[in-house]
Amino acid sequence: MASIRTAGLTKYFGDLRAVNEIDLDLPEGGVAGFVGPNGAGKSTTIRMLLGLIQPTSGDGEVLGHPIADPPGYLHRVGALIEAPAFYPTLTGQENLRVFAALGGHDRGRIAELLEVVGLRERGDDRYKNYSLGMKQRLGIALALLPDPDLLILDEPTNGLDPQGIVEIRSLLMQLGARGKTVFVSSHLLAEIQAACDSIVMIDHGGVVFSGSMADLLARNSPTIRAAADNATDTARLIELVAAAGYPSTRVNGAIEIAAPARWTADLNRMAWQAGITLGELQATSADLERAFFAMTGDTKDGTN
Amino acid sequence: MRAFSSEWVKLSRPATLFGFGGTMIGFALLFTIMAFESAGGRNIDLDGSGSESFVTAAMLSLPEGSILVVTDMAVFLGIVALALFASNLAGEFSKGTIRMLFVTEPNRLKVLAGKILALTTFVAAGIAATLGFSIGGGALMANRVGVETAAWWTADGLAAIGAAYINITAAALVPALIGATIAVLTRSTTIAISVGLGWFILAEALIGAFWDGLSRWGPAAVSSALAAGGAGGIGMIDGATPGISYATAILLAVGYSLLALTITSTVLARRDVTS
Repeated sequence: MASIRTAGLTKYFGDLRAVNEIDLDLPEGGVAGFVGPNGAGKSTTIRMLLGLIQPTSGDGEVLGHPIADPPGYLHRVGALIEAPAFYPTLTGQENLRVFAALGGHDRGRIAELLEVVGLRERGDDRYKNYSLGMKQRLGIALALLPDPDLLILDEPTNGLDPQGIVEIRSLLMQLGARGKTVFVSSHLLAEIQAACDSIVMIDHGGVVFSGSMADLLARNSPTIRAAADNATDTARLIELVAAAGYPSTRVNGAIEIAAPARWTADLNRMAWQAGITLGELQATSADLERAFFAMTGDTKDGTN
Repeated sequence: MRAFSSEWVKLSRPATLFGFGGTMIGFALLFTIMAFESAGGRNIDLDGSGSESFVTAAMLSLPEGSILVVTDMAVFLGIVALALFASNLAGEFSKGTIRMLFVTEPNRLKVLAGKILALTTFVAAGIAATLGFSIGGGALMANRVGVETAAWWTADGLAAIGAAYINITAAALVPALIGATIAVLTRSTTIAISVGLGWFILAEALIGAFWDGLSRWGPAAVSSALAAGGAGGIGMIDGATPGISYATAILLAVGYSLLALTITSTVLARRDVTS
């Protein structure tokens, strides 16, 4: 059974189409990433899955229940939606008590969860005195409060220091390994790549990829970047690469070659034999960041 | 019941208890002292009429004498209740906690019902404490200024206290529920409290000067009439005597409350949560 399944999920705010016919099919168990540029529709999609926003059209199921009936499944779902939101004058522990009472959850878990997210020593401090990272940790503790089968986290590592990011990544991977489903959105693509088994990528309100992380990375071949020390040798270098059967592209005086990383040594040897000294030679393995920019059509400097 | 318990975790914070409860009790004690000082002969021109005393020892000696001060404070207590309801509901939107409430308890009407019930019990407890402190303070002041209070403890006196408590609490809920509606519609604490207070303190009286019906049947007038026990009810300050009967006040108060609850629950249940 799919933990999340949607068909043609669409949301308009007035004339603005925020989400456009999104089809999701997330299996139970494991960690799934949800990525896309700002304004791509991630938060709106998550809010529709959590019953906070009514879809304009389309339907879906969460844990086998229709999204039109949130009471049927939300007691098995933990969520962190965008920035954590709590009552500033209450302590971390009191904030969790408010939601434990409302959801009928075991209050005995509060101390344990504060320990899990690293807030045991600060549980009696007022929320308004927390740092951004501590607020985020409390938000994750709240998401874990119902001991959920499905965890939906929107940017859970926002504001965390590197140690905190590693801890949260490890926690999410442990939950996934225990059979829980974790659906996590993040701008930290390296984190998504490190933690997730599968990925959904959206852009301009629509899904551009949905599948396993391995499939996505396999679609985006690794490249080798090389540059002749003497610019007049660049044309000869391109001919050499073409003769070996690999396509290449000229990029700012260097060339990028669509070839496996293991061919780097061969290229170095061939260039030397041809009397070309390479000023630059590096292999770039396939990664989520490259795949993201390739599939969304954006560039790292923000231009299309 | 879960939403009720959850709400009380917040309401039982000392800042809330002392902030709202202390304000109600503090002002009640202040007015009680002033009323008895005035009855005891000190010149206090509270209503600006130029008269030397706004309450007499004879009025305070009646069986209803114990509740005169709090009854005349009913408008103020209603405004405190309005501020409490409006800040609580609008605050959920401005802080963004509304989304976590609705994910934790997706039945939005249960969340609203729990909140309204918890806030109502908070207001009812606050008014009970206010009444208690005012009567206690009055009894102490009565000894000092020589006001006879034996009638307060007769059956008529105790019945008046019971009736006053019910009337004042019910009267406070009219502005409170309207404040909740404005809060859900505007999703802003500042706007909700400003609009609510503006109407109950100023706008209704001003518009009522041009349209007589509003000065009798408007929510502020109905709340005042209900607190005073309807036309013929007693009051210390000039103008406290309402223009509608008790039965009409009850009917209109129920009508305003139901209308406010209907709008609040409909908007809350149907609107997308984007905050």
